[in-house]
Amino acid sequence: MIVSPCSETRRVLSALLTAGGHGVQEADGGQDLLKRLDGQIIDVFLVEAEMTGISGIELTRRLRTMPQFSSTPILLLTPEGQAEGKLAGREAGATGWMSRPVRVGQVEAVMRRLAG
Amino acid sequence: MKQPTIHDFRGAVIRIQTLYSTPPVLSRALRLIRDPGTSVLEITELVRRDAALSADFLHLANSAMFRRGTFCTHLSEAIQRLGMNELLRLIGLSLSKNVFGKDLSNYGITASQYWTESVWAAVAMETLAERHGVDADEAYIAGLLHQLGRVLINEALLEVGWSLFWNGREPVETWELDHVGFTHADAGALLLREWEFPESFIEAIAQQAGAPEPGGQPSLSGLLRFTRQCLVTADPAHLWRRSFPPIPAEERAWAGLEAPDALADFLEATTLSLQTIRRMLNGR
Repeated sequence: MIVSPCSETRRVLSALLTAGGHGVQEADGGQDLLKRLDGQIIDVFLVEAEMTGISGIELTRRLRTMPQFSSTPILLLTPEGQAEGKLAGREAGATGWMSRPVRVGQVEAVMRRLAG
Repeated sequence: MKQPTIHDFRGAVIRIQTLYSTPPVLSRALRLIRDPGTSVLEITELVRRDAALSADFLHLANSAMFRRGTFCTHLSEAIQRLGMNELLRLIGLSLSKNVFGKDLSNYGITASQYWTESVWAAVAMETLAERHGVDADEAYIAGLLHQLGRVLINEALLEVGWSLFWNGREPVETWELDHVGFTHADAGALLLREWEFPESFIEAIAQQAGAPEPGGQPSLSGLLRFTRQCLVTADPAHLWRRSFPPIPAEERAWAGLEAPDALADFLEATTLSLQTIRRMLNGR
């Protein structure tokens, strides 16, 4: 599940994940995601860290209170080279982070590590 | 995909060398202090070259912990009054403010925790070294800098572009090798070599993982391993609660702390020293 208000980020990530054989769903923000979660089975969340409305960190916190997603991997998408904010993400329950713009090798490596 | 090596992260090494000015000063101070021919003037010049260090130095020299008599306003006077050994500790404390000021987010360690663990290790190492006849100055600095490599790994991960956070359950070295292909011990040794620290010191940092060799002679490396065992098995928060998990009997015996009271006293004294230093540095 890709959660990002940026259509370009969703498009690129979706293409990379689909090429790697993964099924992809998209939401354009935290509210959109929360409306669509009922009964969903989601393997991994890729969540934009900086979003208006519900931030990626707040969304992570909320997902972690839902029993069905208490241990689902959540990766925060952060601007390239930015060190700030990651600790708050970890404390909210995120599993890790991936920098934007996303590169082919990154997505492959992350998915392989999560599968392992 | 090819596993990266430490040499793939030259950019991160250079960034850290640019950011941190104090470690090379500490390295030069270690060398000068070992040379019996060193004059106060040489040491004063070394400290004066780093403006932040000079300011810290005078501030710390006039703190309750280090103050001897009247207020010092000149570096050379402060150095003469304190003596060479205290000088190293002051440079080390100034360095700790410089180097441990950033969160290590991938490890889930705040800057404050990082500082706490490092200074705790420095004080513990110094105490153990004095008991075992190992160079206490080197031991103090080794404790202070033993996790320096984590700064490099945190930077290197920004170049990799992703990371799963260390969960604190698997050995930290396993997590480091999986993500960047080298450990913080390797990274620390590399940085210290760049800063021209003595080789015996670098070796101790590089070999910090594992338990002290049973029956081995007291050495900087062995003491660092023992100190690290205390830290690795303890949640950093425990340092403030003075509640420590058991340390294996053979390691306690190796450190000369086999009696339960001896270990408890050692840990308690170390934590109290750390609290004093924290207060001195204005409520960190």
